[in-house]
Amino acid sequence: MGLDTDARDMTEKPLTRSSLLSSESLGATLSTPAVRDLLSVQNLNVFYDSRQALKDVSLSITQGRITALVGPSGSGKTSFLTCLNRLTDLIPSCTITGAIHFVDHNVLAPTTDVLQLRRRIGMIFQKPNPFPFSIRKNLSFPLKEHGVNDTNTIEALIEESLSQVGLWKEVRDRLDSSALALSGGQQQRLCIARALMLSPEVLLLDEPCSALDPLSSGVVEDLITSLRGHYTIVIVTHNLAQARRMADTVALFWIKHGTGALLETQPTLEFFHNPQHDLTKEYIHGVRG
Amino acid sequence: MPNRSAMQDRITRSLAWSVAVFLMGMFLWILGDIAIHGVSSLSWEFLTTSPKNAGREGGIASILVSTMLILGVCMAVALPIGLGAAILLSECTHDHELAGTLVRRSLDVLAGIPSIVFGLFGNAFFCVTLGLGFSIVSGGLTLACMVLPILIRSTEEGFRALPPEYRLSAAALGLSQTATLGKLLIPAAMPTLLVGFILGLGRAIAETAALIFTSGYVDRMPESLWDSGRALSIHIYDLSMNVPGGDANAYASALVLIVLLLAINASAMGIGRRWASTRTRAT
Repeated sequence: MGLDTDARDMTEKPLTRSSLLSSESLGATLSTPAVRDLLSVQNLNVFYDSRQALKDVSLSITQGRITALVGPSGSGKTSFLTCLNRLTDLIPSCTITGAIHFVDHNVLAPTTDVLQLRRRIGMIFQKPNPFPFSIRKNLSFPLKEHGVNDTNTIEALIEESLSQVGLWKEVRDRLDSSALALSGGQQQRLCIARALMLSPEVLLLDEPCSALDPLSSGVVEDLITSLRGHYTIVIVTHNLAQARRMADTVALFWIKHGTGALLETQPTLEFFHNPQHDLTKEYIHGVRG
Repeated sequence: MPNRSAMQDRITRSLAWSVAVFLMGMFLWILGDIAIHGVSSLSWEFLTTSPKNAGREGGIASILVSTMLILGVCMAVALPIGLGAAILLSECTHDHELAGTLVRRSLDVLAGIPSIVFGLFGNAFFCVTLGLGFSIVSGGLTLACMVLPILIRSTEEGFRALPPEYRLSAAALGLSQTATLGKLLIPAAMPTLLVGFILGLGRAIAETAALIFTSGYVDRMPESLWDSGRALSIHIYDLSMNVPGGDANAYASALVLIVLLLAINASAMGIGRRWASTRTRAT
């Protein structure tokens, strides 16, 4: 299915997530030594008007793994994230150069069908932001907009997505009450479920735990960890301990001469025990950043 | 020595209170005066019969019908244009963009123009140039021009008050701009849109000057939208200024108008409040 056509992939391919899950069960993905890169970014530069926010970033995101982006505020982590699903299109002053490839699609090409791209690359934000509708409608309405109208399919997917985020038992008998009545942690899990409804391949998470209380934060963190293998996850976090617990790969962004740049990318253990850069060392030990 | 700032606070507070009492007093005085003089002529018959003898006798049935028709034309035209313009301003232009700024400034100027100017414009353009004559359509269209600035700005505010995260997360879910607008932003902004609509309606129902030269004076029951029809506010004006002996019916008509206005405002407040409480519950 091509992003550069506006073919309705959703209608052609029945929306069962089993196809995705069965071929890449958790163990299989993790034990395979050579996994492919789902996203590859080369020499990415991001400008807001004439101000450069991100300079010359090259990074590959491995399929089924959790990649954590860490670094001080203003180092361009969120800018990087929003380039991957072209959410930067919403900011008129934003220009991007470089190349991003998602499987074999050129993400930055003007012909790319961004709606399809964003269906396949879901995103969760820092602040939980359910729509002011019922829980059910929050989950069903984006799916309907992508052409899925069969009630049974939708209902099944609602249960599946809510179960995946551990919310099914908590809300199964109040699916028609407002999503805004849920607690912050529940709302964030609902937002993750809403993204999962569209069967994405990649999940971009922008500090998904930082607006939550410690307990909810722990629940959401465990949830994200449980999605490893099923989805390719890129998570921005300020919490180094969290990155250490969750991530397979850690990428450290840094501010060089007022511009964000990628300093170091390492497998998590390497990153924390054998960092290449002195700055990374200082950042890990809380001396800098 | 008594505390000076405490003294100042007391003076400030009593000044604020006296202003509030003065305003409430004015309102109650007007309301009371109209109620006392009007209530004796008010009856079911008054509401259901047409005026006789230039309005000295009979009721206001035809006047009410004309008023509602004028309001209907006004809102049928103003609503889609208002919604469209508000969407253009809040969703399709950016704060610093020239087009948006120009439209916004023009609307602010239009909102400040005296209604008699709208009336003269309506007469010249709708009645004469477009050949609609003195008619309910002309009156409704003129009123629409008058309430549009208020309607557009309040609708725009309704859209702007929505959390920007809605647009962001809708985009991140791969929703088109049209779907975001139709399925998410308009439903979410509906309470403010309704309140804006009702306040615009309140502005329109109380209008006199814009209608004198456009929908005209004729107090017969209108047969179509192309007939001239007399609005309630014009009826009051005419009875009190031009018809000796029309005072009692003028008072009764004024009472009807004020009750309508109060009902409109109360429903606007009610909708706002009800929605505020249901937003956290089911939608």
